[in-house]
Amino acid sequence: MAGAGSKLFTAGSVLTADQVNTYLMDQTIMKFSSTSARDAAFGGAGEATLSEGMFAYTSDTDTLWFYTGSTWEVATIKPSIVDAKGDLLVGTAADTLARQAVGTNGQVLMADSGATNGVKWAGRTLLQIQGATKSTEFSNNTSNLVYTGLQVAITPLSTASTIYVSFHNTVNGTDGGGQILTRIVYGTESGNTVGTELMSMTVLPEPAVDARMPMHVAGQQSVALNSTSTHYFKVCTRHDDRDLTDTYYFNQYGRSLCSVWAMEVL
Amino acid sequence: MRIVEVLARRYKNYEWSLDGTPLSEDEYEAGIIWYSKTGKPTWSELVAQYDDVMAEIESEKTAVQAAKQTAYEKLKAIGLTEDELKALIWRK
Repeated sequence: MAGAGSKLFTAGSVLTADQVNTYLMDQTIMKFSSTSARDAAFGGAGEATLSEGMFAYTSDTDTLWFYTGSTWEVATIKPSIVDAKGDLLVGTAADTLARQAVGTNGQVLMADSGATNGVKWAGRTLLQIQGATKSTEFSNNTSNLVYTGLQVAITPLSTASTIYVSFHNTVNGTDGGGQILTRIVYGTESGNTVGTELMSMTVLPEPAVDARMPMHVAGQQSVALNSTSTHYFKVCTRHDDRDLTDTYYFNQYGRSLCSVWAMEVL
Repeated sequence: MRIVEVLARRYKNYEWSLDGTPLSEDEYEAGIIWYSKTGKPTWSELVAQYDDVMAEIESEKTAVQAAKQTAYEKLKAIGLTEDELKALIWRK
């Protein structure tokens, strides 16, 4: 009987070959140079028979195994398989484990069949949010693209991040003769210098006399600056044509709190 | 005082922008950008025209209100009910 369990031998007891095999041989940890040597040691003529509950140690990989009755399974996972705080063990195939190195702060573990381990650390980390508001009026009677006085500065923390910019404001005009453009531009210079266009929104003012209904304009866009230099995202406005009989207003009478926001996401 | 009303009415053929609603010469100079090569008015010139411009605006408003009232009376005279007039005024 394989793996006989426990027996108390007393003075004068006779130790039989069967007892040696079942109490001692089957219940000790056998040492082999490899799994091949282990597997070759059983079932042949003059060899022991595999039985459930056997343990074996293979020295080539320093692995401890136990026999389930049908197969050898790894009995313990060596702590040395992980190298750092936060490392994980994941399955890379049936009956196969591997180390998944810890990700960076804020990341989440995401399934990815294309990744070596079938999972990857990913996700977007919000690094910072910057915002600015303007509660006063800006009047525009030129077809030039002009800075409204509303800008937000952001100094990216990473060159690999994306900057998401959103804004909202109200516009209206004295007549409906043209279109009012609101543009978000950006550059490394503060103030009136107009930089690169990020997005443009167009509205048509209400043509009725004295209507001057303020229209809400909002937008959102993203850009990869690939830089850690301070950038300014500015809200600018212009006439779409040179119909200078109209004056266009940004936040007329200070009716709303106009804002622009820049979010850095890695 | 909304000095921009003077600019919008008396200087609409010039190119300019104005940040804020200046109440003094300093605020005006800080907020005005004059894109046209000539014609930038001084603060005093704007202030001098302010009352006339506001009177002009009020006069226009009064005229619009009067026209509205006349139109209202005419529509009522031809038989439109109050509900119909409201529906007409507040049409969507």
